[in-house]
Formats: sequence, C-alpha cells, structure tokens
Amino acid sequence: MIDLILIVLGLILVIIGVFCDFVGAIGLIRLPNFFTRLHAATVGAIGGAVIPMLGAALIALGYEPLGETRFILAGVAFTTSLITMVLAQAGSHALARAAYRARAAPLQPIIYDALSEKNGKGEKQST
Amino acid sequence: MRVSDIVAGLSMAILAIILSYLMVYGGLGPIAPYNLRPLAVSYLNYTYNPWEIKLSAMAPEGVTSIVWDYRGLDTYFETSVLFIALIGLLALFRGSNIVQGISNKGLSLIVKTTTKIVAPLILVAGVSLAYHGHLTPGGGFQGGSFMTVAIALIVVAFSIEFIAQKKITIDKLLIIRWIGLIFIVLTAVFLLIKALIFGGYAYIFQNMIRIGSQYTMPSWFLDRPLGGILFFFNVSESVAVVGGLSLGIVLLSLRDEEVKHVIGGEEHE
Repeated sequence: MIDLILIVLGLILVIIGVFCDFVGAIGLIRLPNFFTRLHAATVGAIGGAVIPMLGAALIALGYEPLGETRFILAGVAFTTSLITMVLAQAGSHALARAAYRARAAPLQPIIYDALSEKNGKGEKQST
Repeated sequence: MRVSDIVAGLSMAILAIILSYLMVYGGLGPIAPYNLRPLAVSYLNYTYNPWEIKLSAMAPEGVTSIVWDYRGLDTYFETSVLFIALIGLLALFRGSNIVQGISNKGLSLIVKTTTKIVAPLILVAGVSLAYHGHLTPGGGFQGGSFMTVAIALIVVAFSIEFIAQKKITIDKLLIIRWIGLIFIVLTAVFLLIKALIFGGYAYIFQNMIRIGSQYTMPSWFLDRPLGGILFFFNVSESVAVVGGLSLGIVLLSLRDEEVKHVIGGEEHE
C-alpha cells in the first residue's frame, strides 16, 4: 500500500514538471525582453528539472522489484535535485547581473528601474 | 505568433523526424569480421581472471586495464604530450606573477556562496572518480580534469587574487605537477629496481607475475581487487593533471597589468 502511495506521489510531481516545462517553453517564445525570457528559462530549470527528479526518487523508492538498487537510485536523484536547485538560480542571477551591468540587453518594455535610482543615475536608459 | 516562429518550430520537428528515420533505416553497418573478434574475446577473458594470473591485469574495469596495462607505454607518452604543451605555455608567460590590488571584487555574494557550497563537492567527486578507476568507469585523467573544474570556478567567482591570498602560487602548482610525474615514472620502474636489488628479472610497466619474473604488484586491498599498477598510476596521474591544468587556467586568466612586461614589446617597435 505504501509503495502505491509513493508511486502516485512521484507521478504527480512528474506531471507538475511537465507542466512547468511547457510553460517555460511558451514563455521563451512569447516574452518581450531578455530578463523576462531568463525568468521563463529558470522556471523550466527549477520546476521542470528539480521537481521531476524528486518524483523520480519517490518512484524508485516505491518500485519493489529493483531490490536494494532502488535506495541508490533514490539517493542519487535526491542529491542531484538539491544541487540543481542551488546552482540554476545562481547561474541565472550571474547572467542577469552581467547583462545589466554591461548594458548588453535592451531594457525596452520597462516600468520601473530601481537599480538605476540606487546607483544615482535616475534617468531611464536609452536602448 | 510570427511566421518565423512557426518556421523554426516546424524545422526542428522535421529535423528530429529525419534523424530518427535515418537511425532506424540506416542501422550501424556490418560488425567486425570473424578474424578480428578473438582480440576482443581475449581482452574480455583476461582483464580479471584469477585462474590465469600470468596473463591477467586483475582489475574488473576493462578500459583502464587496456589503457594502463596492455598499452602502458603508449599512455605514458600520450600523457607527456599534454605536459610538454604546458611547458610551452610556461615559456610564453615566463616571469609573470599574480599582482595584488588591481581588482579583487569577483562576482556577487550569491555566486560566491554557491561556489563555497559546490566546489568541495566537485573536489570529492573527482577524487572518487580517480581512485575508483580500476573498479568503475573513470580513471586518473578524468578525475583530475573533474577536480580542475573546481579551481576554475573559484578563479572566476572569487577573482584570481583570492588564489594568491590562499598561498596557491604558480611555483606550488608546478611542484604538485612534478610530484605526480615523478610518481608515474617511479611506478613504471618500481619492479625493475626491486629486481636489480634482490636478483632475478622484471619488466618495465609490469603488473602481475609474468613469464620469466617472480615479482608482482599488490593485487588485493583487504577484500577488494586493487589492480596493481592501475591504482598507483591513477592516483599519480590525477595529482599531475590537477597541478598542470590548474596552472594553465591560472596563467590564461592573468590580467593585462601582469603580463604587460612579458608580451608588451614596445621597446622593439
């Protein structure tokens, strides 16, 4: 019974991951700006890679015929999901910071730029 | 939804369909003829074979056995090609050192904290890949390259002056590389020196007992097969590769102010 519950939970997490990947793919095409597209890519990395890996760990724990191997699979999947959860955000943050500071990406559909106020420039950047 | 988006998506789908159709329709061609197969059969039979110990490498990993036992001399010179290239890099950047106080900011706090978490994990994974090279896929060169990724990450995230503040200088990296290379040579001629001292005969790159020689390297560690020279070659090779490739990364990421007196050349205009 507990195996069935684990497998159903894991499959639910994998379905959430498929949905997040789909949303990220649509966002990469439709969003207007470098930074918003980077947000869509990070949604695909966190929701579409970390959560399905947790689901794969649960499925491996619940699948009896694997024997002792299933604990190894579950541990590897869990560790990989944790490290990906730490690394993907740091990579996106470094990309966005470098693009903003080098003015390599146009800030065209802009509402409010708090960083330029903080740096004392105040005026909107022209593309 | 512009026309170019639709064309891009359709072209990707058509490419995937064409590739899969090619794989199914074309196949992989004929396998090797009958007169070439006994070589592979002998490799598979003799990599770990306790009953025929005079022909065996006593390690379960076939690729590492071939690389360091059956063609050890070839791999030795293949390794030395990389280190000769590093000597050329050192000659180009002769006399340049890391200077303090140019710019030591590095990347932001988020990237620095992530690097603090991940770099020790990368080091441990590389060490395990190198020291288990005779039991699982991997080996000395692969593990050393894996460990070098951690050094490159630290150089990018913390700036190169952090490396100099932690007392990791170019000379120390050279010394690490030399230690690895000296141990590779010592492992290759260890049994020959032993035979010269105690009498008898041995070969270079000798692993287990061979025909005409009674000397052998250790083949068991507690209850695990050790593979004799394979383990020692993997350890020393990983040390040498960590020193050499980190040296290359540090040299190639020097700033303009540090290499100006080496590659400047204004006085000869």
